[in-house]
Parts: sequence; C-alpha cells; structure tokens
Amino acid sequence: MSAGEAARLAHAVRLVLLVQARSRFPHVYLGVALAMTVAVRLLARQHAELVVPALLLGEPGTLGVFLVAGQRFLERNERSATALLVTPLPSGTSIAALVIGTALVGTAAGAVLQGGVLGVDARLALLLPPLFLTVTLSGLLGYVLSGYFSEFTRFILGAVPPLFVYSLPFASHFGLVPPLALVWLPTQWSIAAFANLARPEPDLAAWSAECAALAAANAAGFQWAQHVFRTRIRGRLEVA
Amino acid sequence: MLLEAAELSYTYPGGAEPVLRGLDFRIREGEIFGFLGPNGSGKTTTQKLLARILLGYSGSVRVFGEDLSRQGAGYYNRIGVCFEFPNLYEKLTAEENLEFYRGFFDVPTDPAARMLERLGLPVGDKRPVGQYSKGMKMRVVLTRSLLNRPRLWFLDEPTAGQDPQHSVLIRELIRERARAGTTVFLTTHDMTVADEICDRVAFIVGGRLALVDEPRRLKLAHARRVVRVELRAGGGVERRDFALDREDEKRAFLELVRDGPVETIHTQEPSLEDVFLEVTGRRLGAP
Repeated sequence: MSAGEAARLAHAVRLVLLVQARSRFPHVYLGVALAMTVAVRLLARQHAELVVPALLLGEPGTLGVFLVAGQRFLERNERSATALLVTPLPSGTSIAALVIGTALVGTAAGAVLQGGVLGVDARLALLLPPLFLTVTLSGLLGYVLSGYFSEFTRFILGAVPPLFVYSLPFASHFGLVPPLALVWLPTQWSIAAFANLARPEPDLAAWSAECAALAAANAAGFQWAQHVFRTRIRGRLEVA
Repeated sequence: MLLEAAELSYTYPGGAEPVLRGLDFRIREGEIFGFLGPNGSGKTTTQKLLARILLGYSGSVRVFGEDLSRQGAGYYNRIGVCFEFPNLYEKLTAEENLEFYRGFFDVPTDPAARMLERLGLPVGDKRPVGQYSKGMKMRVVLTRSLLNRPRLWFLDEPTAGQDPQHSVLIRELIRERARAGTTVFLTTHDMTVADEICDRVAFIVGGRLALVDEPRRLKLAHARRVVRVELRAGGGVERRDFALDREDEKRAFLELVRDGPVETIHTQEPSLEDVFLEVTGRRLGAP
C-alpha cells in the first residue's frame, strides 16, 4: 500500500469513526463493555478466566456484525455512499475503512473488559491483535450479510442463522463440544486466543498461530466482501 | 471535443428494454450542454454512464480524449457530479461533509467555507445537515461537486427545489464556471434554465435524441413570423396578430404602428418548451 493510499484509508477511517460517534455506536459498544466489566467483577470474579473470553467473543466480537451492517443501511438510507462512487476512493478502501473504524471501537471496548477484570498487564497488549482481527472479521461478515437484504429489520432476522454458527465456539469453550470439532470456524481461533490470554502464563506459540489464522480468515473475508460489493451492493447504489 | 458519444445504448441489468438507444452527441470544451427531456426519458441514466456510476454500456464514449471505459479512478479527479437528490452524511455538519469529501481527491481542492458562502449557506454552522431544508442540502451537494475544481461538471436538476433567489445564484455560478473553462453537462426538465444558460441543448425522449442545437437557433427555426399588437379600442384593450410573411398584413401592421393607439408590440417567438413539444410531440412535465 502506497503512502497516498494509506493516507486515504486513514481519512476514510476518521470519517467512519465520526459518523459512528454521531450515531452513538461507540457509546453502545463501550457502555455494554463497562456494564459487563462491573457485572463480572461483582458476580463472577472467581470464574473470570472462563467468563472473559466468552464475553469478548460475545460482545465486541459479535457486535461488529450489527455495527457495520447498521452503518451500511444508514448510508444507504441517506444515500451518502453514492457520493463516494464519484471520488477516487477505491471500493476496497471504503470497505476496509468501515470495518477498521468499527474494529478500533470494538477493540477499545474489549480492552476495557479484559483490563477491567483481569488487570492491565502484558496480556492486555497481546489481546489487541486477535481481538482486532475478530472484530474486523465480524464486521466483514456484517458487510457481506447486509448485501443480501434490502432493509435493516430483515437483515437482523436473516443474520440469526449465520450468527448461531459464528457463535458455536461458546460450546467448545464451556466444554460441551471438543475444540477440534470446530477448528474450521475462525471464531474458534478467536476464543482459543482469548482463553489463552486469560491464563496467567499465555502460550505465545499458540497465540501466534491463532493470530495468523485470523489474519488469513480476514483476507478471505475481505475478498468476499469486495465480491458482494461488486455483485450486490454497487448496483443498488447505482440506481439510488 | 471534450466528450464524444457515438451509438451510446444502455439496458439496466435484468431490464427487458434498453433505456438509451444509440445516442450520438459531442460536447465542446467550456460549453454548457443541456440534456433535456421528460421524466424517465434517460437523462439521468446518461449522466450516470458518463460519470461512470453505471458501467456496461454499448457504443463508444470518449472523454478527455480517452475511452470512457478505460478511465481509472483518476477520472474522478477531473469531474464533478451534482446528484439530483441530497446524498450527505446527515449527522455531520455541512463543512464536515465537504472537508471529508475533499480529502479523497489527489488534486488541489478549494476550501469548503468559501464555496458555502458563495451559495448563500451559513459558514461555521454547527447544525447537522439533516436539519437543513432540501434546498440547502442540494446547495451543499452542489458545492461538494465543485471542490476538486472539475474540468467536466455534471449537474442533475441543479435548481430543483430552490427559491428564486438561490436559483439565480446557481445559474450565475454555472455561467461563471463555464466562462472559466469548465465544461458543463446539465440535465434538466426546466426549459427556462436551459434556455437561459445553455450554449446547446439536446432533446431526449424515450431514450433517443430528437435533436441537438443552440436554443436561439431552435427558437428561430420554429418561430412563427407573427407580431402581436395590443391597442386601446372602445375603452378596452384589443389584441391583433399580423403575419409578417404576408404583404397585406405587414402593411396593416406598419399603418397601425404609425397611426394607431398601440400599447404593446410582441414578436411571437416560441419558448424552448414549445419547440420541444413541436419536435417530440411530448410535454416536458409528462411522464
């Protein structure tokens, strides 16, 4: 990526963050993270190592689906995305900015939760890469799913089955399903990474592998999102 | 020529019938070219194709001397597009909308505030544009389309929804930009605007071009050589028409002007709307 492209991406991310802030999206993210932090500290501190990874996947890890799709539908309703079609901003950069902007807020919310419950230490810094990649992945899923629905309410109903599959690693985390049975699911790597970092002594080799797997899943998800933009989303913006 | 279209046709994906059928036209650099037609005639579709919002046409289009289908992202540095609807981030202020938009271009851009002021919009306004009237939003959209100092400026119904004062401001701005060398592609069904500011106009009906010419030449070509005189007669006003192609009527007209109680004299030039009706058999407001 050239310096010019990086600057344009950073500019687009700032736009996404501002639009999300005006829509109170980060307030929701951070508010829920704070509430969960307080609840775990008060009610389940002795089970923190088990509970925090599940909450990380359940809140910032999953909300990306709704926040990215929510912004997509917002831009569609106000037709603001149509204006971007006549700028030199490539569609891939626009998608990346939407997902990265959401992931920055999600990662901050996850960091609040982990830091607030497990303490601020080296594990918190190690949490940021897998958490960020998990939120971008859920954002890409939200982007892709939004391309198949014309209204946000229909999207919410339609997103339930894929989200059920996306969340299956909860079952392995709580010992209901062997982890190997779900190894094909990127969110299994996410929850494994979160669980790894909830232990007092994380396994760094496993952490590296989990991050690499999540990065690969993101690369594939990004290609899929671009395909959905070309085949399903652009056409609707064109005729707006 | 800045823009040349030959046999331009387009069918929407899944559509049974083409919406554009073999359009041929050329636009000179610095010209204000009006694209006129009733709703659904293919005006906006043509503009979307030329602005590369819609892709996949048939025929040939060359812009800035290059094939349109081969233009890359840099094409958007050289064009400005004013949409016919407000498409702004409604929760951002006008200046935030414009400043973010500016940042996506690779070419020098104009400061947003100066442009806002020029179109009678408040500078430093903290209100989100969602609270603006439709006319104000459209002027923000118009402003946005000029930030990158485009060489080719696409305008879709730029005066729609504007009060007379702002409509005049917009027409002045268009003329000013054209004098400075910007080529304008103006899509409208407002014949008054087209007549006043366009160097040439094209009539489009049912996806086909009916004609392309200068408004003045069109009006002269379709004019009835008739003079209408209003004169005082019997305590009221009487109206008489004189066909100047007939010697007896011409003589009668001259006598009346010399000796009669004439109040007003008007040539009976057709409006552009009349010409459109005569050429296409359709009214502009008709679907």
